[in-house]
Amino acid sequence: MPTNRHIAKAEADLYAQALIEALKNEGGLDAVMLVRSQLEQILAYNRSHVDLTDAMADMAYTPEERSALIKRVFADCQPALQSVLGVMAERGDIDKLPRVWESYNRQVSEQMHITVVDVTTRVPLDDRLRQVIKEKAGADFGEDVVLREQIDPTILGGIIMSANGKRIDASVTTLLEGARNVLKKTTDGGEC
Amino acid sequence: MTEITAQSIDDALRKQLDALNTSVESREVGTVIQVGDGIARIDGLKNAMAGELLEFTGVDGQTVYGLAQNLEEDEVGAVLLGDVTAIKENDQVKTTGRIVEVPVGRAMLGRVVNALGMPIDGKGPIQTDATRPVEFKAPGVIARQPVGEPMQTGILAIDSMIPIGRGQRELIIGDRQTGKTAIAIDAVINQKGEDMICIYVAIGQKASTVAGLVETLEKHGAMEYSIIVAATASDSAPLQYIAPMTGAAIGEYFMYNGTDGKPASKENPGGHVLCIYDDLTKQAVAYRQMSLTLRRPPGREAYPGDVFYLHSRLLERAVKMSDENGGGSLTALPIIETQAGDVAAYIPTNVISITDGQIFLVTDLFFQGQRPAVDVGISVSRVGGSAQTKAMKQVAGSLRLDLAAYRELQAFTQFGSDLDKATQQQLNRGAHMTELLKQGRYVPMPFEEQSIAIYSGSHGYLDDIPVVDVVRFRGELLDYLRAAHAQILADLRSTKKFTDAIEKDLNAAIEQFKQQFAPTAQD
Repeated sequence: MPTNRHIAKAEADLYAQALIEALKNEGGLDAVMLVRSQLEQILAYNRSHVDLTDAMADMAYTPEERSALIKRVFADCQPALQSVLGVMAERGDIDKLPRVWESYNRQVSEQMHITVVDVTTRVPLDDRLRQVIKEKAGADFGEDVVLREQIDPTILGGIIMSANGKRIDASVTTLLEGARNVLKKTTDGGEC
Repeated sequence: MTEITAQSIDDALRKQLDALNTSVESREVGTVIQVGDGIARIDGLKNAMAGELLEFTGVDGQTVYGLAQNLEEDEVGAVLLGDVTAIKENDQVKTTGRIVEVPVGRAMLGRVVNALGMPIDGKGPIQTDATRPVEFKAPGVIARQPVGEPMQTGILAIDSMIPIGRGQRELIIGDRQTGKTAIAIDAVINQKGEDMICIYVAIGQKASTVAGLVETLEKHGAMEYSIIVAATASDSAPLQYIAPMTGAAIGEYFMYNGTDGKPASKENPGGHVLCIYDDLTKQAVAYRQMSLTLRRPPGREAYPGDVFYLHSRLLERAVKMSDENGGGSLTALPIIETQAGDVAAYIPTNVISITDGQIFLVTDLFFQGQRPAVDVGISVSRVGGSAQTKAMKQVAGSLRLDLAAYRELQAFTQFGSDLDKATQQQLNRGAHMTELLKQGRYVPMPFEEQSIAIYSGSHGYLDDIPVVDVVRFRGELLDYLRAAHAQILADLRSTKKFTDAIEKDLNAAIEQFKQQFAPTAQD
């Protein structure tokens, strides 16, 4: 249903706000961070499963059926998140999920004065390195920093940090890829 | 042959590794939401710029570049320039902070490149030191000067009545198979020794056609000063869309720089470039495809609203620079294909209004054997008159009016009434002059020979020659002059005008030739 974009934004803000309020009561910062991670996974999952996205927004199903579908597919998610997703599906607002995700991040930052920094490394961070990253990022953003650590063996070494849509990639794979491109550029040049 | 040693391999590797940039920079990152039809919709990238080059990283690490086109509240719409199948949903996209650039330089002469400036002729890499952005703002009023130097096409009908100047934008328009490309190719071949660099941009053409064209140019020794930019029919719409701009960017390098590669100035003159866009109809179609898949609102004939701006900003890059800026020029010959002669369609009217004149090619004339099939009645050059040599002005001044009067009379006499002598004479002259304008492919004529050919017609030397013999008479007369009266041609070339002495010698020479000319036996 076509709606005014300001209304759509306000609705997304409302869903995000309800979710944050519920999480504050259920588990505080840990729950907020867990749901952030789960929301991100759901968004990525939806993008690569168009049939599921279409089914969740399909008005041929009753609101109860759409809600039940959501709860079944995302049964492992945090209960508050399940409830919000269920309501969104019932009201035919599941296509607003990317906006809810954006609003959620913004409100978490505003209300809890934190910036989430995603850190990807080859081996787990030690306490000293963790502290160095927190201090450096905290100084840059002017807020408390929450690190979300990920281990990814495919980056071979180094570190990737991203926050607020910016990404600093100092991984070994990226450096090697850069080297590969430089070497390729100087030798390639025939048919392409 | 150079000997390959372990030391040389080591040195080459070290040199290449020195070029590595190991510094880490902060880049804005987004995620592909949807991909298909050569279009990607991206979440994130809040600070992306319109037209910015985006770097997509596929699952297997393959890098594909794209152009940011639609900057919306929630997402960015981009067109992909490379292997679209390598990109999937959830892949990462980075901004680069720059717009698309292509390699430029003298090393590109004689080469065939794609819309990104990469060689596709199998002759190895092109070693260029410079790059230029494909989108570049055209020079302003102060940096320009009026068009005043001729850009000879070598085609009699055009150079005499629709003269083109260096820095002009002259449209070649006509239906399919009317000889549009032939005119452009003849113009390229005629630039040999004229200190002009030619860039031919093939948009949406068959690769075999482009290969044939390259062969033709090579055969006539024109590739050494030419560059072919090819975005063939099998290339994606975005590549067909940027190809003309790539051609303009490559041409601008020669215009804005002297032969030493340093910026042009009064002391370091810029080069002269002829840029042919064959054809802009297909570019507009590619842009329409891009725009519709980007969900931009369709306008007339489903083209997006800014298709006029697309062509105007491209053709505005054709320029004659002021002497302070090196005096270089970029002449544009855009080509437009019409459907059943409909010049009132959207794209033809747009480009007609942008350019400084147009050469209309007509199917009927083509099949009547009038080749090039230029309709001189409706073809026009709005600035070229000032770029015509004095000799040509002297002989061709009234040619257009004479031919117009001839066509009018011809239509009238179809009713079969008796004609007075003056009318008959006018009809006879018109028929001879029309025949005189016929010219074969790949045989461009220098201006002095063109002037003499028209001189012989306008001074009545052809009137008593059978019409079927006019072209043969012209060819043999010029052969005769080259062999026996080369001084007349040389004088005309140097003075660029008909002096009394030249006219006297020429009249005598033509009379002399006519006595030995044998008309074809009439049945």
